Amino acid sequence: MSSQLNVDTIVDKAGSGGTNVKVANTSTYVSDGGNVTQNLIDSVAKLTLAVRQSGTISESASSLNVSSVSDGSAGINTINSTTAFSAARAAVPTATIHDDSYNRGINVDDTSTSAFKTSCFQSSSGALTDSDSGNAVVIHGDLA
Amino acid sequence: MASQLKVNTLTGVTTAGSIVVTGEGNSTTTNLQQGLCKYWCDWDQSGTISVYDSFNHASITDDATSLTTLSFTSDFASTNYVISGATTGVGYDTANVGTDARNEKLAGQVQMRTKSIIDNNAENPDDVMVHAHGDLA
Repeated sequence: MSSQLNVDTIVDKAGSGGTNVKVANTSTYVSDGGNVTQNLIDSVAKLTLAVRQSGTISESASSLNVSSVSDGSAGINTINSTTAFSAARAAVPTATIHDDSYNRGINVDDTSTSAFKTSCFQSSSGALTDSDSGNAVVIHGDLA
Repeated sequence: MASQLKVNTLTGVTTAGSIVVTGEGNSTTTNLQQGLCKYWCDWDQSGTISVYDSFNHASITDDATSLTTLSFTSDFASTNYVISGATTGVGYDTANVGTDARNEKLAGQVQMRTKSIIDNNAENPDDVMVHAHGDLA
């Protein structure tokens, strides 16, 4: 028998917040328009990170599911996730670069289920280069 | 003592498609439905086009070099959704992926274009990834 819970607000048992609420991976939610349902877990971001490449590499304090970020050669970083994805192609990253001086691009290569190499390029030369202001990476997909 | 509530569907009482959750800092609330990703897709655009993995994805069409149409299973409420993406490199080149044109962004599908940021040439990377946020119908 299917079950349905009608609720306006979700918080934890203590009533102080929602950070301790656990949701099963088969849960669905009603869409914004109220006409369809979607799987809740498929819709949640699985990794988020803001990282500054130039100088000593630094990552944002509010990152999600990031165990470490390694600084490779110029323009190259590898993001390691705490919890691995179910397969390398099960991770779907997007990345945006921030730089106040140059037109630069960034790509992401999921080299394994828990490692993601980002490469930052200078548009005018095609050379790999560290960004001054930072890169933002968001990954959706299926965790293990 | 931890509590566990088992339920298959979450529905708002006042409005079916609107549930509020408390933020990580416990001082604000945010709308659950609006914060969720409504579509994502990871595909191979080199050779015969194929999808690695996806969510809310109905079909993919290889329109031309660098042009791909993605169709959604559940449509967005309007064309005002937000889509972003990334690709893997082709040699030392790097391709950007973005919507091709405003009129190619429809509630039920979107056409994406992949071009080099270095020389503006059309490219067909072997790994293209996009996310879409916004309001579903």
